[in-house]
Parts: sequence; C-alpha cells; structure tokens
Amino acid sequence: MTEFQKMIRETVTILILCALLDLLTGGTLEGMKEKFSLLPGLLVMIPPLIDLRGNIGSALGSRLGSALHLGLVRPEFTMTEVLKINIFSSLFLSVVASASIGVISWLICLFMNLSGVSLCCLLFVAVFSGVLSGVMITFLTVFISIISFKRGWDPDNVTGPVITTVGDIITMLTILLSVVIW
Amino acid sequence: MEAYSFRRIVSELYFILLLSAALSFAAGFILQENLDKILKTSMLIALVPPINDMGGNIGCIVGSRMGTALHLGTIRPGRRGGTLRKNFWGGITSGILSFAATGLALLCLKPLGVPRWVAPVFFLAGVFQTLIAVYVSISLAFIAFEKGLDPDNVVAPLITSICDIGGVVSLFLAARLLGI
Repeated sequence: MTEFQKMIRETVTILILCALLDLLTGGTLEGMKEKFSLLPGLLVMIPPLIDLRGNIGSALGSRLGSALHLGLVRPEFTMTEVLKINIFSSLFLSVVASASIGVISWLICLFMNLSGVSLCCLLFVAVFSGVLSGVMITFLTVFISIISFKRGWDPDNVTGPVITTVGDIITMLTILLSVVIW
Repeated sequence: MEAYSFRRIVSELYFILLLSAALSFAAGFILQENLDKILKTSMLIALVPPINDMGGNIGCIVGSRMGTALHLGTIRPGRRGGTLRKNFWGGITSGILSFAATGLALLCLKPLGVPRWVAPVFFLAGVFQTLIAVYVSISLAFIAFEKGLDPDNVVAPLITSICDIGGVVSLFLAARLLGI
C-alpha cells in the first residue's frame, strides 16, 4: 500500500467516524444548551470555550505527531522531558486561556447591555470546566497519539479530528457540571 | 533545532488561541445576526455543524501532516515536491470521499423527512469546504514556518475557526448554485 493510499484510508475512516459521533452527540448537546440559558451570559461563552479545548488538544496532537515522527517522543508511556513540556504547556494554557475567555465574554455581555451577568460566575465556570476538561483532554491526546503511532497509524491523521470531536462532549459535560456546582 | 520549550509553546499558542476565539465569537455573531433569517425556512441550518466540523477536521489533518513534514524537512517552503503534492491531493480526495459518504447517509434519511435536495447541497458545499480547508491549511503552515512559528501550534486552531465561516459560506453558495 502506498503512502498516499494509507493516508486516504486512515483519513476517510477517521472523518466518517467523527461525523457519525458528531451526529450522535450533536442532538444531545443541543438539548443541553437550553439549560445554559438559565445563567445569563453563559451562552456567549460556550462556543469559544468548546473551540478552545479542541484547539489546545489538536495543537498538542499536532506537536506530538511531529515529535513522534522526529523521534523526539518515543511511542511509550514514560514521562520524558519533551513530553512533560508539551503536557504542562497544554495544562497551563487550559487555565489561562479559559480565564481569558471568561473575562472577554463578560466584557462582551457588558458591551451588549446584558443584565445580571456576574464576572465571578463566568470566570468560575470557564476556569473550573477548563481545568477539569483540560486534564482529561490533554492526557487523552497523549494516549491517542502514542497508541495510534504504536499501531502503525499516522497520529497526524488521527489525533486532531478525534480529540476535537471527543473534546466537544467532554467540554459540554464539564461546563454542565460547573453550572450545577455554581 | 531547538526542541520544545514551555515558554515557546505557551507564548505562541496563547496568541493563536485568542485570535481563534475572536474569530469564533465573530462567526457566532455573523450566524446569529444574518443567517437565522436567510436559513430559517430551510434545513440548511442543520447542515452547518457537520460541514464545519468535517472541514475543521480535514484542515487539522492536513495541517498536522504539514507540520510534521516541515519539521522533518521533507517539505520545504517555496518548493513544490512529491510530499506536498501527496498531502494536497490526499486531503482533497479524503475530504470529497468523506462528504460523499455522509451525503449518501443523508439520502438514506429520506424516509425520516429529510428533503431530497439536502444531500446534493451538502455534497457540493462539502467540495467547496474541502478546497478551502486544504488550501488554507497548507498556506498557513508555510506562512507560520517562514515566520519562525511552529506550524503545529498555528494551523489547527486557526483552520477550525476559518472552516466555521467557510462552511456557512459554502452551504449558501451551493444552495444558490443548485437553485434552492
């Protein structure tokens, strides 16, 4: 099998799998969104928060793909320096970028004259769900990259799509959890 | 080559993440402000999430592959070689095949009340979206690499946001072209 055929086979499989997952979860998540309209300002924040987790995960996956191909990360579950740097920067960004999104959403709400929006609430939901989903998504990304590389699949073809799709579910659930706690 | 450093990843990616969030806020507003009215009567709005996600995924894959190839040196900026061509055509072929498969699945949903025009519109829009995703992610990878940024940090976040806008535009264009 040529490299081209391998790319097509892996990519099409993953794309269709993710589209199916999307269809299955899309409806449920849409239903959950109704609950979020109870907390003022939260709806403004949800799309960018979901994108953010997917982006941190897919950037990590993309870096790990390169690092695995370059031989900087070995396909085994041992904490090397390179892996540690990649993991910690993702976790750090999960917290800091989530907090930034919380503040920006609050500013947008102020600008749009939305009443009853509290900065504390938005910040809590953004950061709490950010930490929780950040930890899960980061380790899942490392896991998927290493496993797919071990199995002879190119992590560049697999990790990004899988982590953005699964990340959506994880993020929505953690946002829901933080809203319930609040 | 300098291996990964915490400072580099965080400073590069933080900026890109905020840029991507800004695009995402903007896309949300554009959708809410205008497209509600335009798309309300039809089923087009239901096709927005799958086309956006699939476009983003294709862009992510091509971008991630470009990142690896640029780091490995199998692709060099400004030069067209076999690896670049393979990534380009591989991305286009996979995208079109996947949209064809999901389009077929939509056709099978006809008994559930999905109109017959939905599948061809989705497929044609998918072809446009694939072209956008592949072309833009390859360009972004080159631009990032030439500016000394890690394409792995730049392409994935930006291409997903760009495809959020690209998907809506593609659907609208496809519907227009097919006269719906």
